[in-house]
Amino acid sequence: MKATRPPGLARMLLRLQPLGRRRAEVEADLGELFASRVEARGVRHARRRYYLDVLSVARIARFGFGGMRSAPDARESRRAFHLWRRAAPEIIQDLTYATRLLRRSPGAVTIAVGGLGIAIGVSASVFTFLNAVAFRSTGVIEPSSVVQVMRAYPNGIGDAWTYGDYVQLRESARTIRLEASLRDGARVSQTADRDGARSTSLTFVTGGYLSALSNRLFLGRMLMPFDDSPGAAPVAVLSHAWWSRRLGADPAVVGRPLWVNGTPFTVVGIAERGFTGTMDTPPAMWLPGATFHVVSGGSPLDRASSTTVGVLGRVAAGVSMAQAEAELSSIARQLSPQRESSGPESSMTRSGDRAQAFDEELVGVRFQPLASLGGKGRAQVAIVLVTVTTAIGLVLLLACVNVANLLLASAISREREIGVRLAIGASRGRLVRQLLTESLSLGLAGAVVGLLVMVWLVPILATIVRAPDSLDLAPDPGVLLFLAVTAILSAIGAGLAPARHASRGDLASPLRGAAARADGTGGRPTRLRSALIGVQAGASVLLLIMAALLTRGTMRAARVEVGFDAARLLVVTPAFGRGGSEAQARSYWSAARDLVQAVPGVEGASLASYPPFAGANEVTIFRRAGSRYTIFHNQTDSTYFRTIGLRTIRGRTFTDEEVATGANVVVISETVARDFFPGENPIGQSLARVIADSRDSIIGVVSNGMTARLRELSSAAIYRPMGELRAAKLVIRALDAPEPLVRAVRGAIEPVDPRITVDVQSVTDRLQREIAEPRALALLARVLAGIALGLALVGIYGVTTFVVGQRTQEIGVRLALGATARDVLTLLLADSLRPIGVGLAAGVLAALLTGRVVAGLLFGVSPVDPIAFAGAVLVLLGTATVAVILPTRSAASVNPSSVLRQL
Amino acid sequence: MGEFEELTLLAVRALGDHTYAVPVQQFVEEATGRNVSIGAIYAALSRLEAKGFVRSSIGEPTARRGGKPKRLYDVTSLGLRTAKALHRVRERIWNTIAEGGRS
Repeated sequence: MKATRPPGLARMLLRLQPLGRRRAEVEADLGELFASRVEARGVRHARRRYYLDVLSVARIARFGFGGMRSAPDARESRRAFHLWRRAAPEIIQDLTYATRLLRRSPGAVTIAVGGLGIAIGVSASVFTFLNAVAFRSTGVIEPSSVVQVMRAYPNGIGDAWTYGDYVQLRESARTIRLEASLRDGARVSQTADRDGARSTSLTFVTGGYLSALSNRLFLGRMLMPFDDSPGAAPVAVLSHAWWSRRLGADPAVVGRPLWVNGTPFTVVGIAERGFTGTMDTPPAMWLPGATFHVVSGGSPLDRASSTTVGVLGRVAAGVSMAQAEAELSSIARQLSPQRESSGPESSMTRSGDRAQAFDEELVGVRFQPLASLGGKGRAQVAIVLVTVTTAIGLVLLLACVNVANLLLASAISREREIGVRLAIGASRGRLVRQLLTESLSLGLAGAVVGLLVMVWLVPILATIVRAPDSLDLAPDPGVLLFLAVTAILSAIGAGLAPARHASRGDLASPLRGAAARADGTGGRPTRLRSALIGVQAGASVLLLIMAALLTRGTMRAARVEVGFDAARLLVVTPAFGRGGSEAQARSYWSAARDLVQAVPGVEGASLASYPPFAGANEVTIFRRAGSRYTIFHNQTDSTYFRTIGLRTIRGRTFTDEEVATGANVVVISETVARDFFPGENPIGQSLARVIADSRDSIIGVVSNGMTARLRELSSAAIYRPMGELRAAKLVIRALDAPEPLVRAVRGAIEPVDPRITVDVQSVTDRLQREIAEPRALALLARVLAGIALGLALVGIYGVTTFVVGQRTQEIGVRLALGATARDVLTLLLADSLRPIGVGLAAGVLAALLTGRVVAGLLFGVSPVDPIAFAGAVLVLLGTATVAVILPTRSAASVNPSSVLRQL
Repeated sequence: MGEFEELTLLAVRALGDHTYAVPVQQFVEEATGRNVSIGAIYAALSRLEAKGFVRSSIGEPTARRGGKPKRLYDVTSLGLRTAKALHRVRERIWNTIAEGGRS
């Protein structure tokens, strides 16, 4: 029979005990006991007892084996247990008491919890953005050895290399591993079938790009070098943010195809959450560079390719940055010079610098830290967010602290109760504990409300700051932690003042009644309260003014004259991608235009590089007499003006021949004619007066139209004949409402080239989207202003009641000495309204300063609009007066003889 | 001297000289009819030793215990006197009770 041994785990535990010299003896004793128990009572019993024995030995071993000190040990643990036994009912008592108390004044609690919740929600929303933009790790391993490789010229640096250059650099570099990426847009389906394609940003990368940055994935596998070889099956790795937002975080997409510009790509992996690659924000997906020409058209990426890419480097271990930079510089200087005058990137204005840059002599290579590792863009977004929204959050937090303070200190008048409890023997610590329990319950409720506020607010903020689709704004543990900490801190902050007050109070005076308290000790808190009132008034008026400005702005925007009939227009945007050639676009458009014009219900169709409200890349800023002057550049065909409904005021518009040959002629808008040719006829003049060095001559003047962006008030525009058709979009005028035509137009145009998916949208839609942002901001400002006003009303009312109550005696004396009720009322009103007046002035001043920030969203309403300012000030003054007059009047009507009797 | 220490001391005395922790534990457990952990016995023996009521010595390793030593305990004369004194105190009290208590 096999000898039974004590349980292994217990023996291991025993070995861990600090038994010192007595180890052998103890182990032998325990073994002997075990053996005898097995014999007497069986294995199960012996094992159980063995465990208990080991534990008993462990207990005494900690205090020097068997020493005298094991006795206090037991006593200590007993004391801790008793402490808990005594505290637990107290805590439950406190909680019950707190809920009962809070239930007694539901109105005040609603305001306090609501206010606290909103403040917490706003702060947490701001933090969500900060967290997503600035704090979250980008998932790049050892970021210090990763750099962006820049070209250095005699007078500047640039980030674009041709793919051919990149191949040469990579092949010669020994001290640094180089990978390339290029960002592009395409239409990507969101399901395995081809429906529901949306324009999406994607990045083409070399095979080792992802693994050079990170070694972890959320799901599936990385892109590998073999994926980036000609003829490899097209695969994609999705960004976590896009996968969550657009595909509902469905893990089953791995292994399934998605259609990118009509080509199926098998999803092989999902990147880690927060991984953005080399950019600030992640693309929807990373695709192998070898598939670039399939998706975007044009020539494949190879040694001869002149397509531009960004180059990323990971410096080899043991090599310094300077060494790697020096090596790459010497390789770069030997690169064959590039001539890139009509490269794929050359569109009208911007290409100038780039083509020029390629002509310049390359002097070497500079390393820059990656954009995604805390670049300039992130910092700027963070600054805007911090300044604008934390201000609001802080102000609200302050207001809430004030409300909670009032709630606890005066609204539920506690002093008497606290005095009674102290008098019958409650300890001060016990009282403080109870008050803190109350405010923590408030904080907990506030946190729940805050969470709801955050869920509501984050998408609105995302619209306001135009957060990219791929920015990951789902609440993560960091955000929730922030929320919890804010709630606890603000709850404790709110509870602290009354708690301190309670712990310092003397026993007698609260019991003697309210009148006895007016001994002048309330001076300092009263001043603090006045200051809080002032701050509240200032913050409310600031928010009220912002709300009024934005509301007036959106109201105006809804009525704004865009200068043409936007209601019947559709815009067709095809996805050519970066690789498409000009010839391809030319043949595409000539076919597509005829087909669209044949659709019943279409009145006309014209090409333009910037159809109405299609972005603002065309903005050019000139300096004229020292000031900024913004002119929108557009390229159109001959019929564009008629199609969108701009009238020809002078001269004529382009002929088909001028468009075909790209003649040096321009059409200007009325504003340009007025500003640059006052009292003259601009027809036949040179454009050089507007843009220096221009060789174009003006052939016509058309009516003003706000075609670029609604918020840009300038309607100065220059139209050139449509040159490059690759950048063109089609504008369609419908005979009737354009929405029913969307399907027919898509059906007509898609067969032209099934690889090119098209986006058809009505101009009204675009206009709505243009207004959406200020509208959302106006809504937010109105909500915040309403809350701030409500809080200010409650705060001012409460504080005035408290202050006036403390002055009852003084009022009685004044009345007895012959003052009229009217005198007293005037005195009290003046005293109470003074801090409000000061706060108001400060708030107006702040509004004047911040007005500039929102000026861009106001659609022609001045940021110092007197109506908005006056309205806001009047609303606040009215509210404040009501809040002050109610308690003051009852105080002024006090009976002097009853007051004097209490003295 | 606490009750448990007294029991342990008496057990050592009852088991005769040169006894060790295991028989003491078994004796106390049997005598009291409740579970006693070995740790409690060690602690009590150590305290008794510190007070001079017992003394210990390392015994010869035996084959039964896998060649491991045991610590052997003897009651000192001080221990014996103290135990007897305690016993006499109790006896007197019980006698008083048996006689119907003090009037």
